[in-house]
Amino acid sequence: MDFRDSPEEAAFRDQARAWLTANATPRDPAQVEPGVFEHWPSAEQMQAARAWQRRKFDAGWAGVFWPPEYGGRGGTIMQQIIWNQEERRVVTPPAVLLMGQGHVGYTLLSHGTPEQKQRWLPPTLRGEYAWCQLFSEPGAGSDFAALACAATREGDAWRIRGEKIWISDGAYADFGFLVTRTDPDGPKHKGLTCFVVDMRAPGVSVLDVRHPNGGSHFSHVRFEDLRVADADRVGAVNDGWRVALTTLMYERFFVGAWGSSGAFGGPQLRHLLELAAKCERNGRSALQDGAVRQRLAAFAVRAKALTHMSYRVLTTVSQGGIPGPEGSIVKMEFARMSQEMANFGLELMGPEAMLAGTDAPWDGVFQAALLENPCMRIAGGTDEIQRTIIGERLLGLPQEQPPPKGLPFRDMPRGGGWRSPLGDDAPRRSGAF
Amino acid sequence: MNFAYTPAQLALAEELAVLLGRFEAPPKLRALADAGIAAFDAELWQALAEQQWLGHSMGPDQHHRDLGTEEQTLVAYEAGRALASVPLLATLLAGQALNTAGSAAYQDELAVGALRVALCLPPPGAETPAVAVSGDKASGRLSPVADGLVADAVLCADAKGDAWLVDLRRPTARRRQLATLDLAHTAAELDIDSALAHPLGPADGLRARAAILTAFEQLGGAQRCLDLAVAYAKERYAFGQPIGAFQAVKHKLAALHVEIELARANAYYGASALTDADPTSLSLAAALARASATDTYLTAAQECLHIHGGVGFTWACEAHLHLRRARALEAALGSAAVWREGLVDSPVLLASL
Ligand SMILES: Cc1cc2nc3c(=O)[nH]c(=O)nc-3n(C[C@H](O)[C@H](O)[C@H](O)COP(=O)(O)OP(=O)(O)OC[C@H]3O[C@@H](n4cnc5c(N)ncnc54)[C@H](O)[C@@H]3O)c2cc1C
Repeated sequence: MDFRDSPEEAAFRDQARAWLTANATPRDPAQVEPGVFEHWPSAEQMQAARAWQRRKFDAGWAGVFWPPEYGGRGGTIMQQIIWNQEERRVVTPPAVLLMGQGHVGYTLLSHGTPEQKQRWLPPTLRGEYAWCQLFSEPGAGSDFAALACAATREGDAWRIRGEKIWISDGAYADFGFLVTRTDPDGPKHKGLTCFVVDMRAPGVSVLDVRHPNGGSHFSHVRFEDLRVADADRVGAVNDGWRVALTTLMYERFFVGAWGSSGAFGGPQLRHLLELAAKCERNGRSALQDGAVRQRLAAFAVRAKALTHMSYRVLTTVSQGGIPGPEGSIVKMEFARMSQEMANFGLELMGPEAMLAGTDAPWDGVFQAALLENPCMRIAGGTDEIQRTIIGERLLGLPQEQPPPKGLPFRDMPRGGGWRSPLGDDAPRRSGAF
Repeated sequence: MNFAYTPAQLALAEELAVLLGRFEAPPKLRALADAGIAAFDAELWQALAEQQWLGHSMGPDQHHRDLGTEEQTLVAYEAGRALASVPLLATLLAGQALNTAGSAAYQDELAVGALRVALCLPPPGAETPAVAVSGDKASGRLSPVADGLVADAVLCADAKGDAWLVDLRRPTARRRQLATLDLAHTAAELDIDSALAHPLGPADGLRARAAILTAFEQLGGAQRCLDLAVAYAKERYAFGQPIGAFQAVKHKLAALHVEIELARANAYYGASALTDADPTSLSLAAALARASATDTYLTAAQECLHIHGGVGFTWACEAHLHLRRARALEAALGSAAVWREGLVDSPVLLASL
């Protein structure tokens, strides 16, 4: 039972840390990170992000677990995670290129042809291509296999018509990983096909969608007769569901793995404790108030449980496995906890909770969190969808399937309840009361 | 990163699970309660001794399983799952504590099951229950003491915060049986008069160790509750389908699974703090493990009962045995709130954020 690095992991970490120390400045770990949903990155920030990526690439640190033939380091997923943890300790440009190296990149690695991988992956690692994931539609979110964006074959090309929504990184993505419907006559899961699309091609329009905080970090994407070469199709025709599942699995996985860097609740909790020390309850520091102490302590128990849970997930990775649905526990519970923490911070603040920005305590990070945190309970599969997955895949509970109306009673599945447990039942009463 | 048990450890746990399963506690506990007999499974205790689950690591020449700390956590987990009606944890704790205190006393008796130990430490922040010790003689009244009716010794503390193993046979302590909520373990009031006492060092460390081992016992109980509820949700039909298909039930069970896994993660951290023997992280780890597991077991027992519907509200259903046990375990070493109390002042916690 050891959550520390193995000797090999420690050696790799030292190497990574040495390079990062020489090439970047340390980040103040107490700093709550600014929300990613405030604004799209500026042109300078994009440039800085690409330049930082290029530097990592040139030094051999891009795509730690990607194969060398596509520009990667050929390491293990565990090493990739160690690298990510270490990179979090230094100041970097906004992480606008993550998707390409994360779940979208990994999908291409798993399902692309050698030619496709050669074409897309090395430039991605060099920071030349930013990616987005084009799955959700106005009519298909949780039930994303119900998507309708149509791809129809025209010789050696496809014509795409339809729309996608909630597309993170959409405004600056160079390429998109798209799931379409190619066979509306087949069953829901059997008629999907995946493509890589050029987000700047004619026929693609990208509109900002604003968040509750007024900022924008996702887009509404419309395809009006976009032409895509068949060479840009990923996976077999009508086999897109299987391909897309890879994306979703790795999305869940990368989120679950973050926790080990202490990102899950640590900085927020520290802020909450500092806040409580400055706020007043019943005539004394809120930190001395029994009820406040209990709330804070309960957050501490939860935050540490999430960190320790991510160690368990990482153990699977460290031993060469890929975590299943248990990986989503960390994302789901972190999201709920963050929301509650922001609520409690605002409650402690009293009247100042109505302020925002620099007029509010701590430059308004709690107010910002109030408006930003709800997204985590939705993105990457809502709480409800995660619970259904846990119930069905981990606990083996059946899918909901109401019996057909009009089913004869004799055929109706019934029973399974009280069995008179002979001998275990209450003793029979003799005599009257 | 290796935050998991080894296959060998899991095999050991499985072996114990099979043994405990043979003794089928739930029906036995109900029968004992019906007959008004205080629970203690003497045959199981004998089997545990024969199969060398009680002894402590005393060197390779001794005929004992080498139960290290992680193995002990698994033993606690299985005992919780099976509602084992024996004073297993306290006996293991006593052996470990004597070992750590450098005392060879009692080890042979412990190993053969001739020294059954009860645990009676005050919760964090409390000074009672406690004995008064002068020289190597302890006196005082301890109440309530879980397993006190069947114990040969009690692991307790004095008012100064030192822990002692008090021999209840020299001279014989007076015991008064108390009616218990928990049907798996007895409770008694002990009047101790100049009984032989062995020093075990500061009670704090021992309490932390007890809390972590108990957290595993609580988790075992919680997992059993979830397993029972899931099995029932698959076999019970309503409105033409298994009740586990209904989202309200499915999501409740999924949420319980999540609570158990998170509590397990904190318990693992407790286990790692014990093996590290790092006193700075130990009290934090104990508080995290204890607070998570205590809340979780109680929730699990209550949800398990509820998912069984009317069946759950019967003497015959196992759920109430866990409900009783969950409350008793909470009472014995302090509620989750008591263990959370000092957390926000913990420098170790702050340093880890
Ligand atoms: C910040 C953010 C970033 C995103 N980024 C991307 C992206 O880059 N690419 C992309 O493709 N998508 C992205 N999404 C979309 C995201 O995956 C969907 O929003 C999500 O899956 C939910 O779908 P929906 O919005 O259509 O909600 P719905 O599916 O309409 O859900 C509405 C409500 O109904 C509940 N519900 C739905 N079905 C069930 C059910 N079977 N049982 C119980 N309750 C149910 C949901 O839990 C939810 O509370 C992003 C979303 C957000 C918020």
